Amino acid sequence: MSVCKKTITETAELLRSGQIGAVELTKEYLKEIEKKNADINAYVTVCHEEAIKMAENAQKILDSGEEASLLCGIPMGIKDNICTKNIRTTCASKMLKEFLPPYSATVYDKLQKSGAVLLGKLNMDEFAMGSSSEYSIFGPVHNPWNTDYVAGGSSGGSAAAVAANLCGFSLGSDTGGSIRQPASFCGVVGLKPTYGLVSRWGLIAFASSLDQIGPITKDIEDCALIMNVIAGYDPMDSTSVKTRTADYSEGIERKIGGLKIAIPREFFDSALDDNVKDIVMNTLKDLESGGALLSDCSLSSIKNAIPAYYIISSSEASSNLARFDGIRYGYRDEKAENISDLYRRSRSEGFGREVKRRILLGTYALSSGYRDELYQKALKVRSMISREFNDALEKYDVIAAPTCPTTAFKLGEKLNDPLKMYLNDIYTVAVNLAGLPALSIPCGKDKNGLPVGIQLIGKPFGEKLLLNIGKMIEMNVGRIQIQKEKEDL
Amino acid sequence: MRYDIVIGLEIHAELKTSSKIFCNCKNEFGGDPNTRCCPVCLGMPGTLPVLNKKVLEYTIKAGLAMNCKIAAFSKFDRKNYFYPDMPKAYQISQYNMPICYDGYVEIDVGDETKRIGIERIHIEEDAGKLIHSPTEQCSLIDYNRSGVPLIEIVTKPDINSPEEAKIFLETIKTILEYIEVSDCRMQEGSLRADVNLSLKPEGSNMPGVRTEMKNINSLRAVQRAAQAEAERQARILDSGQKVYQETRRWDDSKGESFLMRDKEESMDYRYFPEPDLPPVCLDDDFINTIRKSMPELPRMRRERYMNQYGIPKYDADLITQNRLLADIFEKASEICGNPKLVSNWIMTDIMKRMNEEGEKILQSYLNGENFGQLLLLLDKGEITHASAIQVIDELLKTGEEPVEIVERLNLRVMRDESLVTKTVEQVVSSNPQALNDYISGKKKAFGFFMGKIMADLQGRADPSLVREILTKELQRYL
Amino acid sequence: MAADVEIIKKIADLAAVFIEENELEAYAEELDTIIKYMEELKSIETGNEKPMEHVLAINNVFRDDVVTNENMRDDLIKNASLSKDGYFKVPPVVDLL
Repeated sequence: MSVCKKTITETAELLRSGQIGAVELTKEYLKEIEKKNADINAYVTVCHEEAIKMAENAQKILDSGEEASLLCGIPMGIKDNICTKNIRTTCASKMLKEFLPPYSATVYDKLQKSGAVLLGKLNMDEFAMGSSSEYSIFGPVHNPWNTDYVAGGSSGGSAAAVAANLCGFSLGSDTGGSIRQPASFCGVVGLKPTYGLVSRWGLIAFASSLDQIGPITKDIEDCALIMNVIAGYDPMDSTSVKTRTADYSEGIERKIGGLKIAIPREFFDSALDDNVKDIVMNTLKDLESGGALLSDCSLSSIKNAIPAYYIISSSEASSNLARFDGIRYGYRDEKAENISDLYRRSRSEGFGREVKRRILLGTYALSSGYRDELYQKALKVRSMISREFNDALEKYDVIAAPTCPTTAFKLGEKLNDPLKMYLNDIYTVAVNLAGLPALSIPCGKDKNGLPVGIQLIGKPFGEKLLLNIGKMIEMNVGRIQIQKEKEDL
Repeated sequence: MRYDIVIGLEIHAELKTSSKIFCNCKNEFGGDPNTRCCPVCLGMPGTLPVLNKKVLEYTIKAGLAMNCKIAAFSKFDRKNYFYPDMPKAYQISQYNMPICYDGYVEIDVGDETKRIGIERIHIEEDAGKLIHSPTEQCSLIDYNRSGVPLIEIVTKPDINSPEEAKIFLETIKTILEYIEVSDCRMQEGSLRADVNLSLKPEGSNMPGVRTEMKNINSLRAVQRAAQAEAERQARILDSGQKVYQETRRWDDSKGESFLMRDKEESMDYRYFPEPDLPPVCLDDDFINTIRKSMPELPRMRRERYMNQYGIPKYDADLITQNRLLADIFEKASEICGNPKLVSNWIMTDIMKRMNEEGEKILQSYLNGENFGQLLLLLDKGEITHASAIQVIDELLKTGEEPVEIVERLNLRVMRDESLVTKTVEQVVSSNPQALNDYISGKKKAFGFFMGKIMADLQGRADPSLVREILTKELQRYL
Repeated sequence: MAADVEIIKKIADLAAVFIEENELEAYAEELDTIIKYMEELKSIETGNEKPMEHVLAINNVFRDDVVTNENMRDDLIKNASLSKDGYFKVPPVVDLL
């Protein structure tokens, strides 16, 4: 049904004008999920009853005439590493397959309060470790543009669900590119907010100093709407900042003249696919025609970003995942007869291979003997990268780059080579190391019809400008949508 | 071979804040298992810590009380290891940037004063409790204690005998109680001490191998454990063998220590800065506000009692050991104006009651105000010593003011001269036999008259007044 | 080798993860490749650069000392597969302190 293709802004209009009711809308989405999820595998849990109930409540609010958020009645999907009270939250892992959190993430509470409706929990790479959403106990997520291809990761389910119109919007999480890369692969908008802008309370931690929750949406305006709800100080999160939010929707269509865009040559290196390069450059040239100033620059520390990122994220992850032992929750090897076995076997059986690899890598990097040359060194490199980016952002308004060196790759293509998989993240990880905001906007399709994304990296708490520029690009390029069946047109 | 003993102590004290260190659960001993827990102190996935400000304030207080420097910049670190009482499999602690460092505490060893260096004081969180099931082959975990705030006080290896170790721990206990940051109940585990001990040949500078001893649950045990370890190491060294760096568990009931299965020295904690907690930056204003709110500390108080009130050192020591007691002493002295009298009464009557009924007497109806009022009456001679004890007994039961009790029980010493004179004259004149005995030199008769007169006056007369008037009266007959 | 079977065994033990005997070789190879790549860091000139321990320049985040949590044991214990009388249950732990 075509209502599922509509943006939040469009849908909100329909709800308010009475052309569709909230319950009917939710049912339409549930039907789409029923029809398409088997091919895409975006959803891990679908909350039929919950969704209808929430839709009924939303309708009540809309009927009451009181001031309601534009999100009221809008169906959403939430990545399965974000806690939803009493609704299964698995992180796509055997370790948490039956886990029912007795609390909700702050972002989920906020969205519930605004009246959004939860359709279900979305598939991902196990514990957010991956770049393709193939490391999931529920099976991989398929790219809705071509189901032989990956949807990207680790928020593959979140991006695929939006692209396939299986929800109005979704939430993902981004530690090294996990919102932006799948958004790019699936032709949708994905924003990683500045570190500290969105509360991490209830986000099952992968790497605490890098993780951020962010929206994945059909267009830029929708993205701004979500940010208006989820951004902001949370006293439950000591790393959440005060008084840095803005009205992200306000003035989003402003035309900015004289925009200074930096184009680091390290993001346009030999790893970059030619097709992708052309599309991204064309997008930038359009902006130039509109009055922007493109400047070549160099951010040499970027080439050190991958090792620094993987050392830091794996080290933090090895510590964050140490709590999973089956004693208080989670998978437990019931046969274990002593404490040592209980720990070692529960964790061995509960975690997948990639997760175990990262835990081993992180443990190694922090262990005495290696700590100084690996972990400490990585922190110094982090400092360098952060400084270099911030220096560049003093001179320029925004840094532009492709989101990924390629478009989506085939399922199974990179599974045998973990290192090759890591190198996917080459254009995204530096941003997390520096804690900066970054937006991925679909800007075209490659020769095979797969989406290409352009990435805009901004100053700390500069999301408003990114959305503004994103809107300009979107108006130039148009909204990119999957056109499959004739009846969809 | 004679050896020098080198001891360092690692002391953990639970801070008596209302809530836990990183969450809003109640910080209290006991309770049904897992009823004072929440997702944060259980380390559930997605939860995050937020630091309790009081913990910081109490730690700084402890640092100031122990003459430490307070770090302008301080941070938290994760200490990673697996144990079932650790819900996150890491403890949030402080590794290389503790809040307090480089201080000292003075202790009295015999007649000498010795300075024991404080290496550092840092903040960390407590773990849960493991118990053996009495019925099944399993262990049970209660996380009520998980997340209780702790300070760890690490001394420099300046302690040189088991006795000094005990005295030091007592001193720390008194200080922490004085500044009211911990209730220091070793039997409840709110104060714990680990003993690090090594021996070196007498007079040598070569440090020996250090062992660590855990599970020390009383002041007496500190001394016993240190003594036993010094002897154990001496036996090893005397036989020409090496002491191994190890962690041992003290068993006070057996009076010996045992090697622990987990060798802590081989544990790699993989410390790294806690990403979920921003650092702490302290400016002078903040520290000075805390400094100003500190009470006078035990040693200074003791000095003052000796100098200002002329109280002997031994007494001043005992009184200042307990802050509540010292507060009572000062208030009472202020009211009755006779500190020596107050001190004597504390050392005898109050201490006796404390030994019999425990320290709760200091939080009963008795306070500095009414104690002072009572001793004022005694000092003025308005009641007798025996009556005063009676008044205290009553006071503890009813909480009445001393003056009220004295009136109610008719304890006021009577000094009505005319009434006494009348009674004296009457008793003397109605006991001619006794009078004859007295005139013929039998001194015992005086006592007889005293007894009769006091009885007639219901024992309420001032004995010295009676004696004076009786003597005068009897003189007339001589 | 940056990581061989012996090193993997040691690290796995430290991380409390059991690696099956027949998988040790595979893990060792993978980790060896990965670690060697990560060791590129060693050759980077970082000079006087300070380690970046916190991303945000914020300090002194505190909360007030108030008790707001009540008994929530049922919620907390419901995800545990083994419990007894309100306790979490594990096989016997030998070195109880």
